Amino acid sequence: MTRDRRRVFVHGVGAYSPLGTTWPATVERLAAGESGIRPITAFDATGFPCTHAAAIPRDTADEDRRLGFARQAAREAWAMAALAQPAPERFGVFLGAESGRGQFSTVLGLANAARGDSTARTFDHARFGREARGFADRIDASVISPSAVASSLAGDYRAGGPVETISLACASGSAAIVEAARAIRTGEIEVALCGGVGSDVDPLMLAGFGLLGVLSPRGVSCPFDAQRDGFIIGEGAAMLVLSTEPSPVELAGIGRSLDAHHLTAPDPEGDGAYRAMTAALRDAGETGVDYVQAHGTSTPLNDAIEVAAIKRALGAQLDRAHVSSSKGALGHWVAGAGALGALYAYDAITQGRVLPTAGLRDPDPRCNVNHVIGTALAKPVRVALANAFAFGGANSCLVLRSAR
Amino acid sequence: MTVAIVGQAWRTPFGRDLAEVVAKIRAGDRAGHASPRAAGYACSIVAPIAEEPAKSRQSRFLRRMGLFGLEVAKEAFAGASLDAHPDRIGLFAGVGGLRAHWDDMLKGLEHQSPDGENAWERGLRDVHPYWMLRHLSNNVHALAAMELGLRGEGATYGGATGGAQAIAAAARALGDGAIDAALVVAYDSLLEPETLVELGAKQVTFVPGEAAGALVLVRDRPGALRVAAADGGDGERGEPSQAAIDRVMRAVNATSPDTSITNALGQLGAATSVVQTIALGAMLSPDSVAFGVSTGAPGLVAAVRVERPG
Repeated sequence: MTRDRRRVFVHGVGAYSPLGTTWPATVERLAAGESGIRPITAFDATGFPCTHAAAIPRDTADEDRRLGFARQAAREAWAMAALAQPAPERFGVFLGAESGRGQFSTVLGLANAARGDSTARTFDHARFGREARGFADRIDASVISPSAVASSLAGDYRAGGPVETISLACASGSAAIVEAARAIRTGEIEVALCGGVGSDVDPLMLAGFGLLGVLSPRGVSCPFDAQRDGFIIGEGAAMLVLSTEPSPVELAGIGRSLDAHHLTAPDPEGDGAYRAMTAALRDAGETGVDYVQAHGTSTPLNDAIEVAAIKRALGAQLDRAHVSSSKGALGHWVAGAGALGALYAYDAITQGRVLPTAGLRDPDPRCNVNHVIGTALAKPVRVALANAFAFGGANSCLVLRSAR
Repeated sequence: MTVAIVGQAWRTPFGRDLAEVVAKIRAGDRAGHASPRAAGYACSIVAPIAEEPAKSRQSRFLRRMGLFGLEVAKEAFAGASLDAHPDRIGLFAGVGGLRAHWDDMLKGLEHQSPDGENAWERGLRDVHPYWMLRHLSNNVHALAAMELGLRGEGATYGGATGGAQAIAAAARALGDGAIDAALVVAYDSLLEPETLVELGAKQVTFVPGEAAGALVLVRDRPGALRVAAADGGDGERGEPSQAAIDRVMRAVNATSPDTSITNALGQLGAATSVVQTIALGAMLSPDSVAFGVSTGAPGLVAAVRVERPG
């Protein structure tokens, strides 16, 4: 479908990751095949279903780490964009983020405040109302609201347009970029700061994912590998600056879909993923791509289903595409993952290379696509597709294209 | 852009019957009262939903407010009589934020050390396996899509302006041609224990409330109410600046906002904009326009414009 509409271009990118405090620092190590996944040292992970993560060293003074990550990435993206300051109401912020969580000691303090005595397992509201007051600053909305990061960034950059927080689990960052692109297309704004942030390397999230059985017991992230057995939690922020002003990379297509299938399991036919990919390709007016930044979580279910959906979506043009996943090197950033995927696609187009899937050694025969193993593959990339699929069956895909 | 409203449902502190709720708002009634749910908290006057959600098989995954959200989503959708293909119907949800679900967690935290030493063996292994799913910000979004078979697009939007964000996003998706109809659902409770502690410490002057609301939107339908929404934020720790409020009001061409709804029902967090839309729509006379504005921490503001055609 050809439509007369405003085009959206990428002007700046930034990342704060376990492999570097900037995107260039991160990407050079990714290209060399390095991984940021290590044994967890920030807390005692003994006995957890998974004891590894791709973590950023922590400042123990931070109650909530999301804002620090996002601010660093936003600063880099905005500096790279070098755009004139937009009129406030024509400038929006769209961020994939979940609620903040206090440090473990804060959660424990609140739990103790709720217990009438040391062994009670029921919540004593009267006691909590008295005893939890000392924690008020640590559970303030400015710290734990899902919107706290986006609102702060809006204040930092004088963005007076929409300030939106997309909390869509693993697809949050990608869905936020979709929302930003649409706000530009529909004429609501001219410039958007968008992306995603994840900061889930903490005892509660490690336990929560572990109890669901989705983490790698071996502590290895190896998307598409025959030995894959679950994902590794990662953390970081990836941000982009979008505008109608032409630049070398266009955000040419966006597509989202809902599986309407299951709360945690993907549709076994991959139909929702297929529909999101084809929607984004159709939106861009493309039928094939040179690179797919896959969601590629390293879980047995996701990767095989995603590859089947990629094959179906690309059809006869499958051989043209190489496929890789960020999660082998950087783990799963959850709310930040989809935005990180967009940066992989951006790098492919601007640098003419496809970053590898770290951890991949022995591809699963059910995942037989053109993988990039070891180090980056030099390859001209004109069109790239970035996938993000969430718990709950929400799918979000982006098509980036060279505008040169 | 404005879009047409073709279905709606809600649960409010004044109940679920549209005429009764609107009559109470018009009469100047106040839903806030000293509820047992807030006993012991500094912020003790609250506006809870009086009823409980119906029994549901989704109680495994959803708690009280999530169940209300699912209920109103299904009611609004059933009342809309859409003929759009399921692949062309989107779902947009607004939620205030994640909740701790203490009932699931207390057992796992009972024997913990503040430094987290050996936290798994000390009890985290005993946390309910569904804790994560109950904690999932998009669980209502996912379950509503499943139960209603909605396969279009959409997302969940977080924070005190989540409802306005969801309406605005649905309107964008309709305007961009990505879908032909949208179900918007928003729910929130400011009566959660941590929220009451936070609001008490801030000595807020408003009444914390709770609500769930849903709208079904299409691009156009002759004679139907229309709605537009906008939101913004400025990074303030508490309420947003007047400049931010003014900008968002300008985005929906608002003149003087109606404040009677939140005065009557309490502050409803992410549900506010959807509840305002339903209430204002019921109070509007033909060929008239009304505006609802809401603010919340941190530095957030939302506005809706509701139009009833002549």
